[in-house]
Amino acid sequence: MESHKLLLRVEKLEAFLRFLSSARAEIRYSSMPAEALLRNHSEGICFFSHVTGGNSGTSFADSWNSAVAEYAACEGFGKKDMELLRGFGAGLGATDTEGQVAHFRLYENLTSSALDEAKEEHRRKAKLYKMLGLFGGTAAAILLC
Amino acid sequence: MNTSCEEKFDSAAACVCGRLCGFMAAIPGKVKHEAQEIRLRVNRPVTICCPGKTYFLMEDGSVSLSAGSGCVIAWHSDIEDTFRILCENSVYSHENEIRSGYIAMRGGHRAGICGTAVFHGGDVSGMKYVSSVNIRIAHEVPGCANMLLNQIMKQNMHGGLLIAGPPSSGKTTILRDVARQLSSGMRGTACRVTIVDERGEIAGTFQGVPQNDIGTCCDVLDGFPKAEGILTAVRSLAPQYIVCDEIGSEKETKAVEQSLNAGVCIIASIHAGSISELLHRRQAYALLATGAFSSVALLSSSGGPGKIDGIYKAGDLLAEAGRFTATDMCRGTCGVYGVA
Repeated sequence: MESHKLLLRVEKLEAFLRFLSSARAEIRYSSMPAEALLRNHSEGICFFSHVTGGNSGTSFADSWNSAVAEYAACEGFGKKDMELLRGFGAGLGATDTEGQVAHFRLYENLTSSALDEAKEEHRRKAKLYKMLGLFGGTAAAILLC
Repeated sequence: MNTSCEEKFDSAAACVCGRLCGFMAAIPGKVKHEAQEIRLRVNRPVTICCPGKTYFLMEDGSVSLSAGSGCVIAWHSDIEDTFRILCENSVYSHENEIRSGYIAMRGGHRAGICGTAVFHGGDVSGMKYVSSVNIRIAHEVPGCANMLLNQIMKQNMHGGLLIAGPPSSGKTTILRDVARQLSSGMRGTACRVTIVDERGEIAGTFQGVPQNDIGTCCDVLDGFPKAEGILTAVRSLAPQYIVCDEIGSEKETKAVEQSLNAGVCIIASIHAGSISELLHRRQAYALLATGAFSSVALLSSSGGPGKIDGIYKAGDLLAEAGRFTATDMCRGTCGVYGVA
């Protein structure tokens, strides 16, 4: 279970990194609005579909933050990643194209570091968790016999 | 008609921030029907502009002709939220529009933006501290070009058409209806029409979808500078008619000239309150001299869109302009070939 969580975090950070890279290109090429970007990439990152930016009484930033708080953790992002996501949401759509490209690049670097860390953690701990599970199961079987 | 106008008002008001939008829902239908603009100014009352009247929005959703206690005030946060909604939380995707002082909205409406200019390399590159938002509610008037097109067909005039008129005489509204009628086949067979919509006022395109009825065989080059748009249309869209608004710069005149021998008719508008004003404008004279326009329609400043003061042959106007001296130009009236 714990091992799966670690793997899921790696997968989600990879998906987020892919989103950042392709959204940056879409912003530069077609100036696609933020909501459309999120909609187009909501298959890989499910909490995007819970971000509403229209005149629904809540601002885009509030909507982003509540989507991160409610759904991102369940989806597999870690606590540290949520901070990263909140920071990204605060600057999304707030500036001109150059500003957005710089913002996306910054978060690509930050996500890349988080991804390396997640991969390393998975490499170190996944085996351990699996072994613990195996030993635990064997011990329970011996005790029951 | 009433319902449609009210729906138009509601769709424009939906882009105002949630707090102010709540007050607007209760505005009487009669006011919604007449409303032309919704104006928000920082720390001042919200106003609804109707023809000849300005109403102040009250906290109970009613309107008043005088500002006093109980008026709804647009706070700084309201303007900021409204700006974000208008930009769809994507300032970058409206960069060019903001630089020009407006944002195109869903429903064909437009929001004029007022704030402090940001300069980059000597040019205005953006706007900060948005202080006012003026939402102009789109009003289509289907059939408003009937009179103009009937007159032109009656007199068997062919070729390009230049529509001149003072501000608010309905030049854009008429252009839109001309495009709609020509491209829908309401005047014979359906024609291929291309609208070069630099400021998004004719088709009101929002995310690639024209929000106004521009007919079935009409293509829109949205956001294209007019000169480039005319040449792009000629090169790649093979139109029979090119429609564009407020033409007149040197570059645009050259583009019109280049399109002349490509089998395209240009239908365009230009600011001018009278024929003498038109002929006094060097750009207008240069445009007529290209030979791209066979007729000129002068719109009336009163009586709503479609009211025509006169239709003139371009050749006659050019001849008349040649005879004018600087002093008698202002008296100039040329042969009127049709008066509506």
